[in-house]
Amino acid sequence: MKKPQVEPDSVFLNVPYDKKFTNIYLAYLSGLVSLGLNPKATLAIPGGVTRLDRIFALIQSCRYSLHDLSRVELDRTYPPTPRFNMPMELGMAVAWAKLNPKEHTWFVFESQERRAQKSISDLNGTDCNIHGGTEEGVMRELCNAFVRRKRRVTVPEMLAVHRELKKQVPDLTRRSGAASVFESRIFDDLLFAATDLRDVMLLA
Amino acid sequence: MIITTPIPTADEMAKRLGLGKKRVAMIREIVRKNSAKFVNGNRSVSSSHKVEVREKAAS
Repeated sequence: MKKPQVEPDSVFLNVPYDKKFTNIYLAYLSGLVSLGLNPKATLAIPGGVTRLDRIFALIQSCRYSLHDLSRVELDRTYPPTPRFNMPMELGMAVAWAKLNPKEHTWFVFESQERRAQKSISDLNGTDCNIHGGTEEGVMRELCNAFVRRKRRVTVPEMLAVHRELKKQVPDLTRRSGAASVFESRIFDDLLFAATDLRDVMLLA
Repeated sequence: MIITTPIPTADEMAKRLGLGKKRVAMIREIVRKNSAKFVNGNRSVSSSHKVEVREKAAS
């Protein structure tokens, strides 16, 4: 398999796609964009046999990856199951970074302190970024994970962009015909809207 | 992790995402309608100006 070119500002965003997670998901998008990073998600990748290959290629093309392990509980739909996609993609990123330490750096985000040590004890010794399940917590932990040397963005600035991005969601979903923000057709729109807001609110 | 890459502007992001002019205009129209307080008066200056602002801020 040909090795994809690494995009130096791209972040593989490995988060749960569920309605209760909407605001945290939007916080990740607006926070990363505020930091001048380019989030990438598996939303645009179709199912099927090549899906795993394409996810791995996406991880390989991103300089960073961010894995939110907040949703480790069983879901409500029958049969109740935990979600293994996020830990699996984390494992892929860890392996890739181990083989290519200069090309990939991964971060684990969680909502609860010490839970990851229980749910995925192989990570013991790794510092997780605990966001507490709040949008402000996500921004704070993104600032802890990523630092810009020249233009440091503050948590209140990131939250301001986030608040404005949330205002765009009803119109953007309606215009794109999406049922939720977790669809590929609206992902690019949200990214562009967040970037446009950041340019006007933080850079102009 | 210290990030040293330049910050891509919205125009650059649109190119990277492969968004067409119509779609960009539609999203910008929505953003300007919903966030009038921040983006009215069309402070959406050109990319080159933004870069200049960033460089000044950095120095």
